[in-house]
Amino acid sequence: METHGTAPAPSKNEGDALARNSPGALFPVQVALLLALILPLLYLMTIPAHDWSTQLWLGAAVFLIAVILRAAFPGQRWMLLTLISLSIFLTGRYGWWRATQTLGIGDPRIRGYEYPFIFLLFGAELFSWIVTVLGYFQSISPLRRKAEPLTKDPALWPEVDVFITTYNEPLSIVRPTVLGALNLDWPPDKLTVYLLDDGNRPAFREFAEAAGVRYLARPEHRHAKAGNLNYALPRSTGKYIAMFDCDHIPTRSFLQATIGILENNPGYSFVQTPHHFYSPDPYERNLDVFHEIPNEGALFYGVVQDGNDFWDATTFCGSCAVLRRSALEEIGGIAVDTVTEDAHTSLLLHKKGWQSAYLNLPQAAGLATTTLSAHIRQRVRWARGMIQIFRIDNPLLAPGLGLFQRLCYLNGMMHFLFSLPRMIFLLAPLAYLYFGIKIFDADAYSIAAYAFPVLAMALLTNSTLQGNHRHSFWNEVYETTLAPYIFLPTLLALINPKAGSFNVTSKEGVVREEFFDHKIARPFVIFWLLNLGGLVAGVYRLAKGLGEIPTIALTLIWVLHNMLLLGAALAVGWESAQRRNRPRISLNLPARILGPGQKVISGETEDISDLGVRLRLGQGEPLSIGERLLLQIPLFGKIFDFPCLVVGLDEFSVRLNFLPLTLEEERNLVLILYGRADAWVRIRSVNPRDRILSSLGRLTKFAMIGQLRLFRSLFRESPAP
Amino acid sequence: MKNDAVTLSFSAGKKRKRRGHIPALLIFLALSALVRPAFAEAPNAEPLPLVPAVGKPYSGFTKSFTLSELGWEHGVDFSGSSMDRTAFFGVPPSQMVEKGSVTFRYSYLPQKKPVPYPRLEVDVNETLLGTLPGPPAQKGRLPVQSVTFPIPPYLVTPLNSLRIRVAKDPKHPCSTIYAGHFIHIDPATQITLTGIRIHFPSRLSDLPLPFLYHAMTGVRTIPFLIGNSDIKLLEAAGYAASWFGVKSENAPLRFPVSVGIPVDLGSLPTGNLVLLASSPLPPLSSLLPPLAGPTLALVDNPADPYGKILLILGRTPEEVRTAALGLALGQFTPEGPAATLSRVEIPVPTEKNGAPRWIDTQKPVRLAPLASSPGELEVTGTGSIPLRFSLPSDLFFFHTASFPLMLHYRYSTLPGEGRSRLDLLLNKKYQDSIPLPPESGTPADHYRTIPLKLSDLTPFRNVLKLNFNFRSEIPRILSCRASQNTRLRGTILADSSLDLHRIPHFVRLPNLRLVPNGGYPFTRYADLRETAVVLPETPGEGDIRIFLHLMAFLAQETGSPGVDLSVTGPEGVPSVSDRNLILIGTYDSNPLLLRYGKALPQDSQETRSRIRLKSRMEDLLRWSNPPPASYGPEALAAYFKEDRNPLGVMEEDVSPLAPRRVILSLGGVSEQSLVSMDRVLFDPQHFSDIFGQVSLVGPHRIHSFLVPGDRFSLGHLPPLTWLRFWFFSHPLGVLMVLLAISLLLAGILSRILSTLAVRRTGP
Repeated sequence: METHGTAPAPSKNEGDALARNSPGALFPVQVALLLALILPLLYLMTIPAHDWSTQLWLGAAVFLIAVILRAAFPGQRWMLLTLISLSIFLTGRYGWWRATQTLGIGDPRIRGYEYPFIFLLFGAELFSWIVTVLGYFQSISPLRRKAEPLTKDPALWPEVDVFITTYNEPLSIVRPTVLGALNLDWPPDKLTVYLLDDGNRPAFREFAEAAGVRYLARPEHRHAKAGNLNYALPRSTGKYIAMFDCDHIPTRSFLQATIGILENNPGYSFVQTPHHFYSPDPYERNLDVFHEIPNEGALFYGVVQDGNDFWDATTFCGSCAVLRRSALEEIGGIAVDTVTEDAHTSLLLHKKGWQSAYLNLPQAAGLATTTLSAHIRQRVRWARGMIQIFRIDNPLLAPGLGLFQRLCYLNGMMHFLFSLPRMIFLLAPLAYLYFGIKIFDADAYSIAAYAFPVLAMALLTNSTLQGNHRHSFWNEVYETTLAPYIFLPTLLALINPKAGSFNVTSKEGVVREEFFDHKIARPFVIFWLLNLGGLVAGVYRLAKGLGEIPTIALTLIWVLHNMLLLGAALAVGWESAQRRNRPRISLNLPARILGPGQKVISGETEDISDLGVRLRLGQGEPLSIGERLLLQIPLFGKIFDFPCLVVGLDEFSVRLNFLPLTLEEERNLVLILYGRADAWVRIRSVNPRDRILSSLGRLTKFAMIGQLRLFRSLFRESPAP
Repeated sequence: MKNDAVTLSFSAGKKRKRRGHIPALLIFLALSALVRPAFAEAPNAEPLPLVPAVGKPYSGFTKSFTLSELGWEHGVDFSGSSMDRTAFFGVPPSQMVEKGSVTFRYSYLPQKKPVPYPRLEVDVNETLLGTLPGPPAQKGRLPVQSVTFPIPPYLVTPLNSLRIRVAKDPKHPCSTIYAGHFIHIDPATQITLTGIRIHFPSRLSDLPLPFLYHAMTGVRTIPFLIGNSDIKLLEAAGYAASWFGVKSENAPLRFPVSVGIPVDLGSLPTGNLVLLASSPLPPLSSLLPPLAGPTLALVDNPADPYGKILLILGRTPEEVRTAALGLALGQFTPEGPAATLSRVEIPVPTEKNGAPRWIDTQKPVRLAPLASSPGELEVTGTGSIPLRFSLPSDLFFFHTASFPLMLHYRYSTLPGEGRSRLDLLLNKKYQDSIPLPPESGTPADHYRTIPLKLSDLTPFRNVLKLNFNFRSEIPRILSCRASQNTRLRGTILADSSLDLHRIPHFVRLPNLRLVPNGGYPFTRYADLRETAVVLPETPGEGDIRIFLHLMAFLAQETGSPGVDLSVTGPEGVPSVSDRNLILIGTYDSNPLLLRYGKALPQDSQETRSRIRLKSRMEDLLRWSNPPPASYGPEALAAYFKEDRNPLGVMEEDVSPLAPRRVILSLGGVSEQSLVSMDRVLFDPQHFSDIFGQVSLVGPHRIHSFLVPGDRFSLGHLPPLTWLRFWFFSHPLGVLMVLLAISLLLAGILSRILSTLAVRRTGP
């Protein structure tokens, strides 16, 4: 690969470079004003409180004002910014007080061995403050970019290659993706689909030939997915490359929605679209809240990436994206140094001055991980990869990045260091309850008066910022479930970023019977038992008068909060059954059945999967099980025919299974199922709004369930996963 | 009535025996039954029995002190192997002791198991008198025993120490023989001294002798006899009391007062007294030639040949005032018994915060003058160097965390004393430790700058202790002998200093805490240039007593007499309205107390409306920090509701008469209660109970309250510190500014962000 060390690509104009600079160059007056206002704000943080009641008054007043502002001016950007400012003020004030008053430096009452505990807790808090504030900046102004139109004449549209990577996934998962790629609404002579099979499987080669896509298999398998992609790069020619994981089925409009942005902005190196999952993630499935709470990834693709895009720091996510070949070639192809090649690639592109875009329009959909253990394995890889990048290509030091790009990348990486702080929060109160070790040098009233408003305000602000995309307290649940697993890999990656290999996330699988995943839940059981012990120790302390009552009460509240999170984690560890091989997708389309007697029965589809369809009929029809029919679905001005078999009947609906389909029919089915431009748009907008208290209530319910499940599992032999 | 002074009782019986004057005794007894002592109405007046002027004056005396009078009200329980207690007793220079003894009353405490008791050794003035014998071999409650040791008269000096200590085993000086309490020394243990009184010639140059002398112990009682309650005479008495304050260091004082001079000078109180009067004064003409002007004189007390009267006289009250000024300023010819002052030079006004006893914080404070003697800057073996200093009360302690102590020290230690260190304590609060590792060769000079916590300073009196602790690496029991080794030595060099110059002078007033701590704001100018005392139209003895005590107290705090003080009646207030006012009296006698005070000493609608109870709205809005509930106005109202009857009220308010002035009210419910207030109010053990704006003075305690109301500031702060303090004091201000900033930030940021967004995506 040739390297471009000198001049930037000619396509990058000066305006782009200017826009990437810090806003200071653009708005000297406003930025001066901002600084002039931020300084007194910082100053106010350091004003000491007369006593704890004054601090509580101030915190409560700020919170109350925030609640009123939020209720009176919903959806206003200035309201959100005010909330962020207030939250930063309270956090900073708490931080200043913690740092200057509560570390016990020079306090003869603090014993030497207590300092490590005090500083560990302070460090954990410091981390969470930094991540909170960075998160505010990252998502301060989600860009919400729109798709840009292409020129009217398709003859002028550029050539596009579609790369579909696979390694060990079964063909049944890959087939719809390949067919979906073939369905892309693009001039066929300008569209080349490549199936990059790192597994060198003959069945894949045959399928590729039958479907009419190019099949590429490497003789060697270095650098996993990145190597696979890089192998295909010189063996293809399109101006743009659309990349899909083998389970991400694109809609037909994918290219038309994304290429416009790249064509209109020559300085843009890639367009990322969200990863949409049409199956529930382990949280949704095991807690049975599919479509009740936002998907775990909703925050990232709903808010964070849009926020990143504002600062021109969109992260490339490896799939559902279109890249400019020239940009990719300038950085020598996909990055190979880390296990998260995608994020690293975008960092390299940004370092070279390339811009990026995020189009928050689901134009592809895939399968979510099925089990908690699979989910954890995937996150462990991400965490490790991000920490590797942090070590190899630290965004704070990397040349060529703007200030806010650095901060966005920093937050993306720092976020994955949450495991140690999270575990400290889960264990810290126990040091006091078990051993009477002071974990801060302050009275409980002051701690409460400073900390509670901070927590409440952060909840309120985050709920306003990301309410539709992540409900309150769920972040803690996600972190708690990952923390014990992510700790060692991130630590090792911090120490030695070169070690470790790529592992493929399993998206497949059927959980035939519900079971408690003892292995995966073990850390939570241990943490939970420890906290239960803390609860007992606290009550004992209260009864025996060992220690000050407010301090004990405060730590007990903390322990209860921990048990809430751990209870929810336990509940997620209970893998509930997933009986369907292929997820059904709710879809209402007009359809008709042609029976053997050529009788036309009209109806509407209720849900469709790869295997069959459920039709709602206007009235009871004389159909019988085992009957062969022809299902016709009119769509896009055509009528698609599918041979079917009646497998189920009730008064108003009929369940049909597809008979073996031809490749053509299968491709049409994929088009109907996954290919509609609006296939996923509506589903994402139905996320219910966050209500902080009801979210807490729901979490409490899950914690109870989780603890019950734990007890139940003690008396029941669990089947092997 | 509890007697808090050392009793001097003159036993007539002994005198009679010595001199053989039986009739004199009888006459004395008869008269003491008939004549009402001049100060009997003052409940705390010391028993000063009248002695007839007939017959030959006796010159013998017998006096005794019990341990409880010397401060050990409950006796002492001794324990362990190193307990050591010392009490002091004084003998006036006019008395010569011929015979003395100390009678110990003690009991051994029952023990669970028999152990060898350590012996107790008794010293007077560092000379061993004897040891207390061991216990009888008997179980159960042991009876009180007594033993008497004679005190050789040659040992007795004006100031004497009685020391009781557990004797150390010379062979095992470090061993702990016994740890529990084993002996109780009864408070009735008594020192008895007999001897003769000596008549001194009257010389003004001896002043303040015989009223005050260096070795005096206990409460110094200086009776004042004032011709009439003319305001000028009272002013003069104030100056005189002020002068006694200066001369008394920090000793406790008492000023019994009586107004009016008895026709028969023989009926004057015995002992020493101060007499102020203006002509015509027929009874006094026998003592002095006719007055030629303001006159100071020291004469024998006609009622007591061993007592003296300090006469402050003049032909007019104005001349008496001049004479008192002359006394206070030391502008009189000291030779001879009397002096007529032609004129008195009023010295240049003192600087702000220029009181002689306050250290000047504008420059580095050398440590050497803070020690009571230069030798105190050095210790041999483990020991402590205490440094006492008074700061101006208006130092602003907020925000600044520390101030530097520049320490220059030397030490010599022994190899093996590896745990030795120099500990620093400010007002008994630990500050820092400097390790003192063993060194070879001659002691080297060490320089260290150590931050001391400003929050540990008190507004006025401070003690900085530098403790040289020589500790062996081996455990304490074995090393205790070494820690007393004379080769272990620590020295603080004279150029060590404290730096307080960065601390601004700024106070928020009214604040009663500063009254017992430095007498602020009245002592802001040590000559009391900005202070006026408003007494009732016809002041009673209680009013004058508390007034004189206050004057002496302020002078004790500053070290300078308050010669620019104004004293006036309620009618004269307009002429002094630009000063800080001190109102003294009862609510009947001084109408100004009702006019300017808030907390009247009983529960009434009037009081409640005046102290302005905290409103819920104020609590909610927090323009200023509300007082803590237990000291707020509600607590004050509750105090009254409980029907506790205070003796009186001390209260400080903003003066409505002039800007940045306070009015301090000292109101008693009756003349009698003012006398009791005088006793409680100036007792240092109650000083920490005085703070806020209202102090209710009870017979045994003071309750103080923080009452919302007007405030003003005195002094200047650097602008940033001022701002910081303003925000600290106004939580609502923080909230308002925060909101304004946040909204502005949001507005500006919102515009910037939309412009940037347009730049990213196009319009």
